[in-house]
Amino acid sequence: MEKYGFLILALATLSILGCQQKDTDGSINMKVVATYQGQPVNLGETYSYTNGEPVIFTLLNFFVADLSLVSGANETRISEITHVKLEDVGSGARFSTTFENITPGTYDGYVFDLGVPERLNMNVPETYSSDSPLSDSFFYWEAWDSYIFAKIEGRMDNDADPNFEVGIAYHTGTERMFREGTPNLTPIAIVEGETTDLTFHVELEDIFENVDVPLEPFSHTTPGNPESISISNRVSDGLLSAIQLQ
Amino acid sequence: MEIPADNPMTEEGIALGRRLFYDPIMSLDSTISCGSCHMPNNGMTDGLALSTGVDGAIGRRSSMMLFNIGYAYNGLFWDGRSPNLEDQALHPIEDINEMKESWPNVIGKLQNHNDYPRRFREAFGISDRDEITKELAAKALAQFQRTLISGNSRYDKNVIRGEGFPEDDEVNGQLMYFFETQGGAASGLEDAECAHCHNGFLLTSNQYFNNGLDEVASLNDFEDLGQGAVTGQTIDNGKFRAPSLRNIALTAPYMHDGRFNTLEEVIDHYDSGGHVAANLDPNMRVLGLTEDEKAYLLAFLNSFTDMEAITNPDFQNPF
Repeated sequence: MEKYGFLILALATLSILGCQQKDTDGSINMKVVATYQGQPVNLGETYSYTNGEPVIFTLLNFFVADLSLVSGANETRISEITHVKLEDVGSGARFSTTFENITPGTYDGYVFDLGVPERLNMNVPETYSSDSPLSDSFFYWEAWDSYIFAKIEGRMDNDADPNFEVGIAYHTGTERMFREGTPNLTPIAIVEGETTDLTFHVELEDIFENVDVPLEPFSHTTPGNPESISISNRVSDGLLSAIQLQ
Repeated sequence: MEIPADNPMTEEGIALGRRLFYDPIMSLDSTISCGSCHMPNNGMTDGLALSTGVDGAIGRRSSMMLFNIGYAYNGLFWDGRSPNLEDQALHPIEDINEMKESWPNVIGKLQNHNDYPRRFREAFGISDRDEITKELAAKALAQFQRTLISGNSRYDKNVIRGEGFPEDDEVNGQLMYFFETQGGAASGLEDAECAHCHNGFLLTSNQYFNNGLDEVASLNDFEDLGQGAVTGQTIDNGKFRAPSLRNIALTAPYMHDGRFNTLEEVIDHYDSGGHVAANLDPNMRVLGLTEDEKAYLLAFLNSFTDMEAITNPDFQNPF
């Protein structure tokens, strides 16, 4: 019995060590901040759209896939899938997460894709463990057999009364809405035992650059509906260009 | 289903939880049990708009449906104030509109009972009746509630598992419910927008929404703040948990305050688009459903009834 006890202790120790960051590694703290016209956005607060229409944003989230550090022709993946769920934390809608066990060095830049890659999108939330960002069925749409890659919601008042009559709901998904990013060659230094901050801004005005929100206030990426697919494509393109490293 | 590591399911724990669930000893005057408001025949609700507690006290909200509650996440109760079943089970005992009892009294009754100390010993390995606590009682209640699974409705059998064929009206209703599918746009039917809030196997998104029930001048004017009272965020005022629609035909009346007596009234409400507010869910809109389309939706909602779960002997009152 004693030898089994030792074995269990040894395995438990290995398990714990396996979860801990090595002292020789570095970390990245990724922050995402939503902005509108350059200013941090608070969910539920009123802003002005292009022609002065009052607009509020209530939900902003999207999947980032294969976030990697670039070094020459090599890519070091630091996250396979991250669900960026922007929530109000004090001063503005923001998201933060930490990636550990990153080999120190100076990298040439970073790259990521937007959406859920096919290899992961082929499974349903029930197949993922509860600690996976892919386990939440709120972000899966059975009718598409796909995760909802991005959800952007809010309301707009388009007739100068006190009511927000127009519901804004852009839900993108399915493989055709997946967007491959191109490397951003901004050097990133990872230092042994230290955490490097990577702060991204998501400029909402850029997301809607090619969308007329009052006239095209929602799209649920409906198959067989060219207008819906077109809007979702433009939102997907806009979102990719809206995310910028600060 | 996520089972807490400190509350594994055991036959003894489930059996104890079932007895506690249906035993009115848990209330001040031994008139009300959990089962008073959560009856299998009513889809684990009580058929009332607002539930009745000790001394005829009327609660402020409708009884929630409990089937598949073990799968729920993102808060329990209509307002999400409780993080898990073990915590949730503690609340109704001391709610003056429900059991109006105190936990010390309940524990005293359980410790001095001629049967419960043995059952607690078998379930949790206690060595003395003094070791019975509210936390152990809540764990047993949680174990029983995690067994309340419903997954054998016509929808499950015919649509999810493909064991049979849904009726034509149900197929049309399904297209409207889960509209963004191949065939949805081509069907000529209206998108009923249901699945944004009631999706997945559980037919709930486990999220909180303002579905336009009340007309308010501002978000601070909701009579019942719902989730906003829990989070303290104005944008959450007037939001309530989207309940699972499993067995929905049996859980009338509907909404957090039981304001709608029938599913037809519910469908009419969603068809209207609801009252506009700054936090009205953006997927709420005027639908313009035809009478036929309303009938299709109703047929599909009725296909969620699971009589095997309703009549499951393991879920019934053991007394």
